[in-house]
Amino acid sequence: MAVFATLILDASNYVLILVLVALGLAIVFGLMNVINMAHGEFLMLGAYTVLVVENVGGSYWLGLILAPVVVGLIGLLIEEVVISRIYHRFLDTILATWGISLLLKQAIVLGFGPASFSVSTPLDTSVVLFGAPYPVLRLFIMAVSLVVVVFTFWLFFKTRFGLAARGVIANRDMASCLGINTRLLDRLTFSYGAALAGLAGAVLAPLISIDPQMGLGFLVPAFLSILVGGLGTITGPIIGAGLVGATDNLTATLFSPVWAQLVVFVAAIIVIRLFPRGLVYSRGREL
Amino acid sequence: MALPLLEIDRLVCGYEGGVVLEQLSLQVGEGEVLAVLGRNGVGKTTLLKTIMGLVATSSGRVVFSGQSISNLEPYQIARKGIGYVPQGREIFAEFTVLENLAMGNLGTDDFSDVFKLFPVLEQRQSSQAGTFSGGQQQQLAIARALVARPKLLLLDEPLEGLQPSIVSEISEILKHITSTMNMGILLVEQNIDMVFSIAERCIFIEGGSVERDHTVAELRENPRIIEGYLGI
Repeated sequence: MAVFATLILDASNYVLILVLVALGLAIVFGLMNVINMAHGEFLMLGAYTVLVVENVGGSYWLGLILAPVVVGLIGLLIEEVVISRIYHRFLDTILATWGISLLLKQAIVLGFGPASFSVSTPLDTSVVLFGAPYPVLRLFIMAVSLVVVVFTFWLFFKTRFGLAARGVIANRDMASCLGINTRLLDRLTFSYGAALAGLAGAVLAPLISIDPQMGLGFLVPAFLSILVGGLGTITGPIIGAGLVGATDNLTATLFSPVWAQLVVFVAAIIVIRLFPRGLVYSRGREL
Repeated sequence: MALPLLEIDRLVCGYEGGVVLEQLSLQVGEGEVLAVLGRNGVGKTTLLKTIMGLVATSSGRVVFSGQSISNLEPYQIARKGIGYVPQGREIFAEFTVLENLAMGNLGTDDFSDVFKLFPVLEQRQSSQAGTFSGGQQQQLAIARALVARPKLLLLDEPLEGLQPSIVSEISEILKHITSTMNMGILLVEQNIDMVFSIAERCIFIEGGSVERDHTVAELRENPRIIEGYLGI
């Protein structure tokens, strides 16, 4: 029972981290039709923000608060300088964000070197859950992810901002003709997506090694989550992350990480073949 | 003489494939209903899209309430007081009626004025707009434009694809709007009876510019003009 509980909790932990990463990616794609290849590097920047804060004497908690703010502002700058000039040019946005991803990685290598770093582990205690000890930090990460998901749903489905954003996703020209400032929404949404990735990087920082390549390991499963769950929805990536993350984590634990990758990719190909628009898709493009 | 509400002066615009409107000029006064007539493909919809900023102006000026709106963003134009009911309605099918109306004016929850005009929308305010009939969707599209209380309303074929009973219902509502609200209307419509019932003046577009400009009274007296331009 205890082993089983730990297995499920670990899988839930990974799923919820994946949700955090995939959500930002999905929101940016849904609103702006931009596949952000630099999303993994935004996650990396979040982790490095925590590292920098700790290096200058700040606490992990300060880093956790600053990471989404810093990465959100970097996202805002990138949107203004690069992305806003290539909207409606789908392939160009992929190439440009890939270029940004390389640039951010190299900037980190220049600034910090290629080596791995680690940050302090806050909440360094365990609680007994279902008969097995479980790290409080992991439970905290799960709670953060759940709060972010609930907040994102509230933001997009219960506020005027969300209504406007969903309107832009459904019909950008019409929304603009109704007085909605689509440029402002683009900026805010890209920045919010970047901030989510930054937050993911910050919550992950105590669990993994921080290095310039760390983003890639989350970008690929996040993309798979969106493809499996469905493009242009918020619910889709969450369901997708649930399936991809749980399959990956459980297979890796029960068999091996190699088998996990194989099973995830085969399962994703089958789902995409059977449901080309993903498991959850809307008739229009709408969150 | 009072300034026109909308003044278009020697407008040239089009798409990448070529020019659609060339040296087109027109004026709409406050509270005036101007109908734009012409054969399919002459650029009536392009004219409305250009006024709304959806099609770029190559040259010429579009002036609204004394201010140039040429090449402003559509949201800036809408905020200056121009409402747009596009061809095909373009309602947000997955939104409820209330959400569609809120999109028309994010600053208010009070839709009582449009509910008086369109009682069916109040009755079905929580229904998904995509489940509506064509006539109800058209009512919603007009109501959505009206909630922002525009000074000028651009209507692009509001009766297109509607069954006759709905056509008369929508026509009556538009007549009511024109008679009770001091709102300028630029109307593109193929239904001549409806045009005659609400418009004061009609212009005919041919070859990218305004070929003729007549009052409705003149057209009633001389139906050959309509026959000649529209082939009816």
